[in-house]
Amino acid sequence: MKINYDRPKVESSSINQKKNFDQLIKLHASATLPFYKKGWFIGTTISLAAIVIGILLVNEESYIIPKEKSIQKNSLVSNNFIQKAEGKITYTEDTPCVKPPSKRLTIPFETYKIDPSKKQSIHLKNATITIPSFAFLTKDKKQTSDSILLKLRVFNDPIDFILSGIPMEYDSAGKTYTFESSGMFELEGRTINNSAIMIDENNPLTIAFDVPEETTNFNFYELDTINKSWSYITSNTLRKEKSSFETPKTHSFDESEWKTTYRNQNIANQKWKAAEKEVVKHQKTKPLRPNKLNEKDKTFTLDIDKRQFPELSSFSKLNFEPINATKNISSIYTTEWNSIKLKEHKKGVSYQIILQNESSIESVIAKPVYEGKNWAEAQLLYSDKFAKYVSMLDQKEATSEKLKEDYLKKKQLFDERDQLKNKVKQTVQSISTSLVAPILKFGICNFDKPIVNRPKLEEKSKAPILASPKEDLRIKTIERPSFANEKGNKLQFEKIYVIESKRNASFTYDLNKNNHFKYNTTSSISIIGFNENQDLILIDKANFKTATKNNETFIGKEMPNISVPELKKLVLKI
Amino acid sequence: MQTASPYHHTNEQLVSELDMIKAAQKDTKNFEGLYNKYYEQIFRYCYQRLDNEEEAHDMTSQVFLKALTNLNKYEYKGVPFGSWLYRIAMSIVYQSFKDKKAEKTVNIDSIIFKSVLIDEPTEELFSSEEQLKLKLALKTLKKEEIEIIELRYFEDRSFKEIAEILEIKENNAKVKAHRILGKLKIKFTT
Repeated sequence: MKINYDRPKVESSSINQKKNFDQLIKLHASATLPFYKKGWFIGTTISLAAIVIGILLVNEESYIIPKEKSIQKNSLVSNNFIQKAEGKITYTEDTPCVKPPSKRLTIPFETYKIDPSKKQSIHLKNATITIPSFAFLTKDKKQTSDSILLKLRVFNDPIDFILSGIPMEYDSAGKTYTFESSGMFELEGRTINNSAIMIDENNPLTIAFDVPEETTNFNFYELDTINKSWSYITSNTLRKEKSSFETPKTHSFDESEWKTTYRNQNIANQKWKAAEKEVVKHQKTKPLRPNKLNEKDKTFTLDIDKRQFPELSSFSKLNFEPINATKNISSIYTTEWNSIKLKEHKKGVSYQIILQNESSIESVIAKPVYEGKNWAEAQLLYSDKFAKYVSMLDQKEATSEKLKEDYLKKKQLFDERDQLKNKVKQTVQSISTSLVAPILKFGICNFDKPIVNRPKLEEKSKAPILASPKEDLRIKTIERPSFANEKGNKLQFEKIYVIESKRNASFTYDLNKNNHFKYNTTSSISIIGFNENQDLILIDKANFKTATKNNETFIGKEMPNISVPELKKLVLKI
Repeated sequence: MQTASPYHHTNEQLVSELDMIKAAQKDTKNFEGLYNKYYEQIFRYCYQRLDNEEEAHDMTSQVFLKALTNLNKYEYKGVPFGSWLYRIAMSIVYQSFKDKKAEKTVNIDSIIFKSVLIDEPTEELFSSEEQLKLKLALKTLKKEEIEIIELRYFEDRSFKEIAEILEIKENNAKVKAHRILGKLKIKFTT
């Protein structure tokens, strides 16, 4: 058992914000589907059918399912996850437009299990994907309540872009550009039963990439794997919105002081509430005004046992008058009773009189009534008791009032701190910048800024707009380069990838097509290639400054065992 | 300051609520009035027994979903609809502890409960030694006993309300609450 003391209360406004009746109705609708329309039934049926077919195939010694395509134990995601889904075509590794240069160095997927009926968010290192409720549709465009498995990978830097094998060139009106990306991702989804789903374009997911404040607008593109090209989706992606995270460095708000003031006001509130209860409790002890005897005939005169009823000890031969009799009790006044007992009924107010003889027993509720000396004594007692009561009540009310004032002061102090906290939050929120776009389909999408590709030498005169004269001077072109390892053995590359420190991009040069490459001499340069074994080769940086324009040999270091993080540390210093 | 419990209903309110229930039984869209009326109460009930606000909202949604699904089985017993919702909430909350093998959370306002335990107003918080004693004392209570203590002393509900939620007689709720508190007091003060 965990015990929390004095936990902050949740405000009603905050609770009511989370109400969502529409979602409840949707959940109810999906929960009440007939069993044969439910995901588990369809899934189980398909799985059983698959098992039966599998057994038949194995029995016929035609085992056609290779091992690597079996279901993974933990993730429940099949390795052939990326396949044709209804309404769109995704790619496989064999699709020519996406060619990872290395099978060993890859950017892995993360798998997320999603309840489609709930609005959820996937928080990544520098991005958030928001998934509205019921954002996924089945083949027949119906909402699904089956759990969804989302596979996601994000490409943040030039190493990610290179290793992804995703083409980073963009063709617009016959002009080729290289993408400078602010964030690229690949998203796929299936139901937990491996059924195809699609994103409801009317209720799309949203991605928000956190970017530096100075970032300007980036366009949002989707990779069209059929046409092997990027499709422009939207340009309006920059959001300078309030974000939900706080950056403590930017403000002087004292969280512990806020907690202390909260605790103080909460304790003060409790003290006041306790004092209020005491007042109410005391009010219930207000002494009752004594009643004067009216009709002696309808009373019982009793000698009181002073030990049993100390509150009546000042009286002798006290009269009791029945109250609110619901039955006809006139006979009890004329009957001869052998025994009369008195019991407390309601403390200080009423008593139960039990009358008994050989043949019957009767009970009446009665109140004490006073006459003569008893009346004078009762009034004196009452005055005394009432004075004490009033004095005590005054004390308790004064205490309560004092505690109320104390609480209100402490509450005001807390409210001030709380407002400050909210203000600070707003200030911090206002500086957050992100690129936001809707995800309408599964596949690969990119926040990009196209950079004009550097012209080939022979095109230079025909296309003066492609590079400024100033840039031309900084760009070095290496014609017919050759590459060798540290032992002097020749290295052969189909492509090389040039990474410039000033750009979040990688420039790809196909050496078979155009036997040259270029780089900006004012940037720190890294060049990467892959040999025929798909081993990574890193070209020695020492070569770049001294390189002449033609027939230069660059020395490359073979790194067959390097990991992705090691490569990023080496090249990007991250 | 503690406001009057929103749970209690006059006869007119009960009749009007019954109309809402009947309408919701015919068409689930008419359930919205009941949902809005009881969401906060049920959330607070769940949150009192949980450690996490999000989880409490999640559980509140489950309560209303279960209520909506079983609405046709609802039988009017002359008490507010809320008592039925509380029983569903109780079952869902305790089932979740069972499923997750999670610890139950108890949320206590120190000064109020300490005043109750020592039978006099106090401005003192629980000392660490007292916190340990209280934890050990609460641990000896059965699930139903803790529920009564929570409803009465941590949530400040009337005995009538407790009785209707737990489907026991008001007098029985009173007797049980006093007896359980007596047990706690002994363990706390010795």
